[in-house]
Amino acid sequence: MITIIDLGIGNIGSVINMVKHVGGECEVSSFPSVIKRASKLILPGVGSFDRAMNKLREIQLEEVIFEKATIDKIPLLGICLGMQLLTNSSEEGKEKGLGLIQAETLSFKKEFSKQIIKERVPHMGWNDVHVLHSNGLTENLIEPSRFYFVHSYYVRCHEKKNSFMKSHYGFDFDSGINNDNIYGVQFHPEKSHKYGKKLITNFIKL
Amino acid sequence: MNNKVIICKNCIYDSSMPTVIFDDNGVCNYCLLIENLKNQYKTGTKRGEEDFKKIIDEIKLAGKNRPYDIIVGVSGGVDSSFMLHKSIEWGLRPLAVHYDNTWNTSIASENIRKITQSLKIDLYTLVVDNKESSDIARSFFYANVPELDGPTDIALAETLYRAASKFKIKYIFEGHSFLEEGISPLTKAYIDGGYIKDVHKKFGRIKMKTFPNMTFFSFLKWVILYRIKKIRPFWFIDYSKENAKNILMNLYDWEDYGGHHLENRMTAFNHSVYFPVKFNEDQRNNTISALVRSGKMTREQGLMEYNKPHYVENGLVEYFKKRTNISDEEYEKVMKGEKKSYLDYKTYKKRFERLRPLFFILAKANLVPMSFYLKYCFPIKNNK
Repeated sequence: MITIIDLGIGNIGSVINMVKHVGGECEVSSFPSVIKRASKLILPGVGSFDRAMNKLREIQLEEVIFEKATIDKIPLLGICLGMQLLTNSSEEGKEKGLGLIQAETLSFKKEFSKQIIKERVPHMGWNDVHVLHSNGLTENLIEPSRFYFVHSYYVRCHEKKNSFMKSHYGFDFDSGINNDNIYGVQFHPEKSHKYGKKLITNFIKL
Repeated sequence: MNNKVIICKNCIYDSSMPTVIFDDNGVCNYCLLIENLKNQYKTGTKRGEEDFKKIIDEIKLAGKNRPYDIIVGVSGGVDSSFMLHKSIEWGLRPLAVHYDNTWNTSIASENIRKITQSLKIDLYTLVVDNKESSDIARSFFYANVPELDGPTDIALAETLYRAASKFKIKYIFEGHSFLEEGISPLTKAYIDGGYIKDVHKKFGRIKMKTFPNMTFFSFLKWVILYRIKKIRPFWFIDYSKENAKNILMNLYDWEDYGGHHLENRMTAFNHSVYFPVKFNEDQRNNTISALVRSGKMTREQGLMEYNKPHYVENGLVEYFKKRTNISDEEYEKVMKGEKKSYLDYKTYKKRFERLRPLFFILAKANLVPMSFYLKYCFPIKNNK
């Protein structure tokens, strides 16, 4: 059973559909009591970093998620903004992140203007994803896989070992991050058809 | 006569509005209309998405060898901003077109800049002379008619067509969503280029030079000769304003301006002061009813929201008076003065009615909106 965390911001319907589509069972909740007894968590996300962090604190989920991930060590998957929330901080806002993976969330726009890169922001559409080292999520993924992205901020890990997938948009960035049982992907597996199906199936099997 | 007001069981439209009628279950004709539209366009279903995808393919084919595929009219508001975002996602090459009536809030202008720059979308802006814009607003105010904001609608439509012809673009995307905004009921509000001309001739003080008015012949030219089509993507695909706002804020640092239509001071004044005070009509029920219908708000929440006073931005009324150069006394006089309508002025309405069969064909071909045909080509019954 996968528990999908609902922050009440953004549409999580497609995540639910994808889990069900590949034969997984899921429940959706924003209650600490429900999250506390979860055996697997997905943290989806659309919206802004600060708003999501504030919401997590408001409904008293920050601590619960932190404990589930670090003490109970259940598999946790952050998607898009959900992945960015796993990092220490974001250039999008002022709030601290969950700090579950040693990484920062940075702005494409800022970096593009520094490096004089003439790409659109957000990075939007299908793009290649290269697996840097394999783990439970990467099983049977062909090289490169193609996933669907929509984001204006990207993640940079402090240490190479925490980055297991990379993609290129203007420059290389970490499109998949991992620390033990904690996973984050920048793309949307729920919108990535067969590649997404494979990745979600792998997550169910963890 | 029974004066009891009946409220629809499904939304918050009530029997005080002309053209609202109820069925045996107490549900209004507009709820029924929305249901029919939903069935017709298969809104938000796989079929609807597929139908829309076919339209996109058609557009891409037509835009081949041209620099742009579509025009998106932008205001800095949520619908048009999100439309730009989606257009890029759909792989289209949009030209953003903005009609600046010089009453914009700075939030709106900033939003337009942020999105077009981020997505590297070219922006074509037509700015009307600000004195002229004030003069036209003053004319409609002194004419005692409810269409204070009408000239902006006409000028925007004309600007979109002009840009389309200039850059040889055949499609215009409109951000309307009947699920989020409803279909505004047929009221006595009306606007066309002839009406603007007549009101301005009678009450204007300076010549109309830069205002992009749409005459009867330019209208026919755009739809018959240029055959420019208007498409409403949100009639096909799933759309939620709330969702769109979240995405825009996250991806573009887009800023919320706090309410439907409030991104422009002229619209805000019209919507939250002029219309409710002078004409005792409240246009918020369109949006609220739409949200109630689609279950985004309960009926009770909707009625509560509707009964709240209008939010009026600090200094809005003063701004209007200053821009139009209307004294406090004059302002009060007009606000409490007589109510007139388009029937008191020269318009193209009779011509539209005479040419109804032609407009039916044009509406069927997506060249004029179906709502134009239904609203403008039939005489409106005066059941006051």
